[in-house]
Amino acid sequence: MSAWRHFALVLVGGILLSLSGMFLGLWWVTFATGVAIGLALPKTWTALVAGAASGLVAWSEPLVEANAEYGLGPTSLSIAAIMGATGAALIPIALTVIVGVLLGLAGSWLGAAIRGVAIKRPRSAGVEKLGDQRLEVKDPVLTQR
Amino acid sequence: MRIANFAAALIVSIGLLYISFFGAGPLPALGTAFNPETGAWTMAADASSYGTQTLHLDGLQKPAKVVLEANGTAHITAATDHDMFLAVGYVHAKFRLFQMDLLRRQGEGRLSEVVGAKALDSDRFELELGLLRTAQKEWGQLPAGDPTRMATLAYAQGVNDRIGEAERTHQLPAMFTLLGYQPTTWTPIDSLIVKGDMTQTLNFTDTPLVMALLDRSLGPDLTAEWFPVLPPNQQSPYDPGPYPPRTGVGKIAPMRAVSDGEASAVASLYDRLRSLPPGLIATGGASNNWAVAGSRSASGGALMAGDPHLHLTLPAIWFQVTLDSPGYHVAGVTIPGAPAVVIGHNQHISWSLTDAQNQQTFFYEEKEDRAHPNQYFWNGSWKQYATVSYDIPVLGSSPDHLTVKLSVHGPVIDERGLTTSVWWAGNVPSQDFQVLLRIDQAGTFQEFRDALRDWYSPTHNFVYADDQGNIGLISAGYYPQVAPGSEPWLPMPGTGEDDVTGTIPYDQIPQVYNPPDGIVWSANQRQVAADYPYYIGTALNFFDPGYRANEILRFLNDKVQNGGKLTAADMIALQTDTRDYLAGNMVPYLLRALAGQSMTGNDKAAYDALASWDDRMDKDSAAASIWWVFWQSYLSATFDPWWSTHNVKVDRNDGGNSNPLNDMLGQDLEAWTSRDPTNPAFTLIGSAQNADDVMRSAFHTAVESLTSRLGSDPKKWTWGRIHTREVENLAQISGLTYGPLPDSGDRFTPLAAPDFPSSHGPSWRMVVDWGAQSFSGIYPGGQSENPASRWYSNGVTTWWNGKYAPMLDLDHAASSPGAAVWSLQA
Repeated sequence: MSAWRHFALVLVGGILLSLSGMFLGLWWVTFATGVAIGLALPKTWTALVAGAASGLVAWSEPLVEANAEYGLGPTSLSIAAIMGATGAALIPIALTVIVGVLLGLAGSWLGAAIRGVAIKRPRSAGVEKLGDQRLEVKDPVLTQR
Repeated sequence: MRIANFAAALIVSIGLLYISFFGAGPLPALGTAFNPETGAWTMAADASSYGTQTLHLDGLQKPAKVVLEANGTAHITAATDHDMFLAVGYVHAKFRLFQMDLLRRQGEGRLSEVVGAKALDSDRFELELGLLRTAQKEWGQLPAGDPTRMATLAYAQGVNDRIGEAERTHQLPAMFTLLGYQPTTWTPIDSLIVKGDMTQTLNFTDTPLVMALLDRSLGPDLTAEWFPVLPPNQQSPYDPGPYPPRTGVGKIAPMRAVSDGEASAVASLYDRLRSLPPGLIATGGASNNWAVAGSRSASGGALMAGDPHLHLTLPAIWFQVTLDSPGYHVAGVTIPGAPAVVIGHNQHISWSLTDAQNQQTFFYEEKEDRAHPNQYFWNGSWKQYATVSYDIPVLGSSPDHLTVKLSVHGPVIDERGLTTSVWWAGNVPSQDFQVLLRIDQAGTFQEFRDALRDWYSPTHNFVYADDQGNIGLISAGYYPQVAPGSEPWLPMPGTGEDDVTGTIPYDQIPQVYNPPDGIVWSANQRQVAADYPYYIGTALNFFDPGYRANEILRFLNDKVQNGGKLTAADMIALQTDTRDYLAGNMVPYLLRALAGQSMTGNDKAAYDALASWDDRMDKDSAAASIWWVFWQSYLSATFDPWWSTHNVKVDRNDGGNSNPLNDMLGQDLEAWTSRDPTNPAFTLIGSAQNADDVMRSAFHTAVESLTSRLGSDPKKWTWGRIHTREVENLAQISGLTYGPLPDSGDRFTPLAAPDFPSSHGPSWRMVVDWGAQSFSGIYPGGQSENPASRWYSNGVTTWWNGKYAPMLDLDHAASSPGAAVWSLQA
């Protein structure tokens, strides 16, 4: 499997998992999904991107859907007022998305870090060229460097 | 490096998860609160869930129906009374669950559980006072099979149906999500607690403590003179007698002298009560109602108008319904949390209420001795205090343990210096729901009056009108009586001689039915004349000064002079009347005192404005500002020197806001100005010797104050620049409050608007014309507590503009534009 396909698969799976969690009211699934993404993707930066993206989509999609169905203007203004930011309707929306992104990001960071600690560094493995060829190396830790 | 990376990721993750799960400081639990599917965003889905639909409710016996008008008014139809009450519970919870939860938590002393230790003082006080104990007794006294018991149980079932549904669909009100808790099951006790909250806010008073402090500082003679039993000014009791014979009411003289130790103990209790959140202690009242007999109306049917004045909040204290079942056909307003229509009409009668203001709170100083620990001396022997203990859950802290001592008088609420207990009529178990439900079903004055026989507290002036042209007014409730020679206006000895011995017999409480002049009215004034043979409270504890009542009577009498007939439009005009009766009385005296004086430009302009003023506190009136600031200056000029020289510990300066002391002193000042201008009260003020001197000085001070505050052009001193009104969000979220905006009225006008900004006033205006079969009403709010809902504040503008909405019957509601129908099924 190519690295990009692997990345895409993990990303899509992460988004679906995170969205499912949201629909069930389990917001922390976004974080757990991030951890899984971090464990599943061999490179930290790709994991971070995928984690953030899954959080972004999982927390934005319901807002987009609700906006289409009900219109979120009055709700956003109300939440802003409760937050003490009367009239600033964008703030709750931004904050919601940021919370989702942060949860995905932190989860994937933690997952990647666990992966980095849990998998031992091979003694004689050299640095190889980045690219598809390297991704086929059996020791995935190498791909993190 | 990897370990450090892991550690950093772990720390950040833990921090983020902690904030997301539990929140931090002012931040709510971010994950729960902002979850788009289940968090605060569900307000949007809730606000869109009012359309026609079928709902399934547990416990429903037969299909029922709710028609929602375009303005949110709910019309409930059910095949059984049980199902109707169940549907009321469901609809209340659908629209007001958070408000209901707050109300029960307040009375049950469980606010700290969700907001933390800042609510602990309130919780401790509520548990000491005993709303919960009273509610439990009331529930225990209802026999199985009692219709009220059935109604309350069905209502609770409906509330719980909605709680379950909201939890399943993740649509609990956003405030639950933001505060991070879920509502517990609703019980009948909770409904009784909501009723207790209202009783407390309307008639638990601390006036005997105030009187004790005044006695100690001003002296018993001056206190008795300035704070008498009977009002010193001219008032208009609606029940002028004749009364049954009994020993007359004595003056408060000679009043006993309060000792230093007693005053010190009273001061600490007074301070404690004053530090409680607003609404726990009643400090005054302001509501209007009146009725006009069919013989006096243009339609030939009786007219009735009522506007209870309460704290104006979003959501409002009221929820408007129409209820139809085999046993009930009633429309009006309910209180979320309680099953009955409180103010409204049925097919034959209409009613509204104002607070009667008689004394229902008495303080007792228990006699104790170190040789008798945990005992008090009563009726010649030592008695053991009963005790009851509570563990108050506190968010973020360990539970707070509270033990409450109970004497025969009631709960001990202070033990600093003296042990003080309180006898409060609100603690006498009473079946008020039963009374309200009987009123909802009553068809005649006799049935109405019979139902009110069992109403104890808060004492209310229930106005009545019916489809036969009859009118009436009954000030129903307990009028506690103590032994002759006792001094109920002060804390009394708890040794037994001064105990409450009973109440005024029901047939002798203030009431009228079809009086000869065809008009009845109440506005919290003393209901009876000076020769009424029972003690019902002092002028300070805590009847209204009577200006609204006088103005209502003046208006109605003016209209019917020379055979004139009154209409529903007149009722509306009077409910929104801005004429200040006190100003109408006092401004002529001021102008006379100023006549012939040399005045500067602004003094002269202010004088001219007052001279041509119509006494209306309209928001664009400059004269209204001049009058109001003058009156405050006149009060200050007269009484501040006394407060200062006698070191009076009771604060009467509250930025011009309502203050019962100032209302009482205002009555004195009004009486002295018109009848006793050389009263010694004026002599402490430098060279001033009489009312005219003080008025001239106060007028000049007022003009200076207005110039400083509003500029040098008197034409721009409009009342609306000083006086604004707001409808406050119940959770004190300023961004969800309506206003403040300039508004007319003051605390003495029928359109009541006390305080700056004013957040009290007509909480529900209703006008009934039985001849035209027209019923209309409005309250400043909306049916939903959801701020994203179109029904959050949709009634405010209509109310603000003095307009009303027709109270439609079911058929008209169902066919009205925009109506939605909920089919309720088991």
